[in-house]
Amino acid sequence: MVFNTGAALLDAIVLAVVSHEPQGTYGYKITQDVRKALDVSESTLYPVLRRLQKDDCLEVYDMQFDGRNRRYYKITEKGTAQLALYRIEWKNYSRKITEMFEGGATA
Amino acid sequence: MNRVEFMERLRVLLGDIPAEEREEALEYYRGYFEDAGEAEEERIIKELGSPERVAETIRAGLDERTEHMGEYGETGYRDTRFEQKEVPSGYRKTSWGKGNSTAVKILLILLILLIGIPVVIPAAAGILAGAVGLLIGFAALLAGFLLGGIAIIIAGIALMIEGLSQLYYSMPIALGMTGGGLLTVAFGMMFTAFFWWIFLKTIPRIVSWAVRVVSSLFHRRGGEAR
Repeated sequence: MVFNTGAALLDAIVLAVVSHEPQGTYGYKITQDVRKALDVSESTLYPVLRRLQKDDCLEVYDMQFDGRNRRYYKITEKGTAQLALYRIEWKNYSRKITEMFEGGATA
Repeated sequence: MNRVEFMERLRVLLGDIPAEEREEALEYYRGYFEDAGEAEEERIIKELGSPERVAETIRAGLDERTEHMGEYGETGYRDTRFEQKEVPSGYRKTSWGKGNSTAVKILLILLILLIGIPVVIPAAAGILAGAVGLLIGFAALLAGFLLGGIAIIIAGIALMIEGLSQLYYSMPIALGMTGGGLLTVAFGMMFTAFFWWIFLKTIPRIVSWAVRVVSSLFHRRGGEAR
């Protein structure tokens, strides 16, 4: 893909994907979900998830699945607030870029 | 390389990061392989590239300093300063030195190293020392002005006290000296405040600039695995 996805956008996408699962979701599934929009590699998301966890935007808990331990990620209150901020920023940003591309009148 | 070997190699490669971070990362990838299932194992190992590359991604995530130098993209962490953007094929820059044979290249590199090392290292050390010297000199100059300002304030206070002690002998002299002392204190304060302001404005900038320059000189990046 031509456009780079910066750290903030990737954070926002991961937060959005995790927020869709109120019970929490796990690394492999998050990667597959993000891949529906972006061609991320398998190793891209670990540092992102770890950082969001350290920033208290995500919390983790372990649960038994299929006789083994699986680590789930869940969005926190702070993460929800952060995501709301990203949504607004993205709306403004994408609108301006679209207007510029299509040569429409600027708001 | 199978999954067990991959994880073992990753554990070794992460030997120098904090144990907590290592266990977190290994736990993540262990779960990742298990959730993907055996059928996907080969594909994932192939896509992850090498344990070296994964370790580098993990380490880059831990390293706060690299935050400004690259970004997490669709292909993982990377240093964007040295990348070429995708451009329409007709506009792609031609790369240099395609015609050179490897032997000539090696010879050139050897020559550059032989000639370069005796010159470059002392020169770099000289420039570095000069820059540090200038920085220290500048800081000392500012500190001198600051101390001068403080000395003026002290002198003003002394003059005031002396003036007040004259009160018993002569009113005009006492008032004159006290007033002069007050003026001197005011001047000293302005003087000090002005240089303090300059100090606060410039020194952190110079220091951070210097740190950036030095760290960019010494910051190693292992680009080969990306």
